[in-house]
Amino acid sequence: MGVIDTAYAQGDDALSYEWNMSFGSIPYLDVAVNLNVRCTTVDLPTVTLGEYSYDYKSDTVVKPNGKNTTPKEFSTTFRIDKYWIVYNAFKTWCTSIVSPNGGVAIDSINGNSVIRVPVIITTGMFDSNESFIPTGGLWSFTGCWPKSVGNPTLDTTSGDPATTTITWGYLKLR
Amino acid sequence: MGTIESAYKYEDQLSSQWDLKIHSLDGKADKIKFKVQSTSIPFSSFDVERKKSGELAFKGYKEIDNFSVTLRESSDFSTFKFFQDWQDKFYNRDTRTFNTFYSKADYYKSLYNIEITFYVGMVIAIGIPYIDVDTMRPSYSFFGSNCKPIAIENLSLDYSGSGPLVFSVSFACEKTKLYSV
Repeated sequence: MGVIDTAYAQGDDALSYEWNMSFGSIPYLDVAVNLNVRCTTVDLPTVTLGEYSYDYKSDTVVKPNGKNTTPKEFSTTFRIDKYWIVYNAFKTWCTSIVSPNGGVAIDSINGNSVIRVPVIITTGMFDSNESFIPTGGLWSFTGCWPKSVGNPTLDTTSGDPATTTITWGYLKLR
Repeated sequence: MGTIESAYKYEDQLSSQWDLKIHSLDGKADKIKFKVQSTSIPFSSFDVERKKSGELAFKGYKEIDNFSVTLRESSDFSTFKFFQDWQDKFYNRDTRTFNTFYSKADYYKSLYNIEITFYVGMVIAIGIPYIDVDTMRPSYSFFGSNCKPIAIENLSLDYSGSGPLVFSVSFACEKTKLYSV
């Protein structure tokens, strides 16, 4: 088998557009919308571990320090719908957590929170029956809340759809 | 075996892998463990003196210092209340007198024990990262026995603060002991 055949036989690559996202119930969004259609990109956190090092004579030993230093945030970018339904829902969600009038919502009661939802991002593709076939990539975030709702750029010289980026805080990534 | 392998093979105790438990019989201290931010373990020490001959001699024994623990306050102030209730077992703030206990047993029941446990990882942690089990095992504990509440330190309040309310408490214990769990 030649070089090109060997490379080809390794199978297909994961394509960066083959993914799907699902949310828990989004507060203040009382109409059914398909967020997948409008979500353009997801920036996932780099899984990182803390480390420490010590020197002994001429060399350095590096070891894990037992801390999970994965950034506790990820971001999603959306095209904003014509009537700003999703954008307004996220903005209201944010202001319900910390009100501009000076109030802060209680995050949880005995660990249960109404301001946090699960977000699951799965890689996969749709078959001819429009069934989603997962391909193995999975990022399951629990306890997500919008830390920031990006400021969309409004521009009379542009015909591109307006977009916004939501930065999420979360409790746990699996 | 090379130098680097020799230095590598002895595992260090990680400074973040510990917890502090207060053993109270009524179970009210159970959630204190999750509110502790930092502490230090006090030890006793010897005083030594160098004689004119140059020889070092023991001069005295210095008793262990107080425990100091910094905690995050709960939104229902249950952390503060726990320590104030503990103080109230010994002192009546209305009459400004120390309480008298009915019996020695009653008195000792009011002296809580404090346990700071250190944890080490298990080899099998590699295979089970996504299973909701604790992959650390307790290794050694420092046990402070018959502790008395000494002080709830002043609360600093600041409008520019951005984190939870934290405060410190201190208590004295009869003795500390290290033991293998």
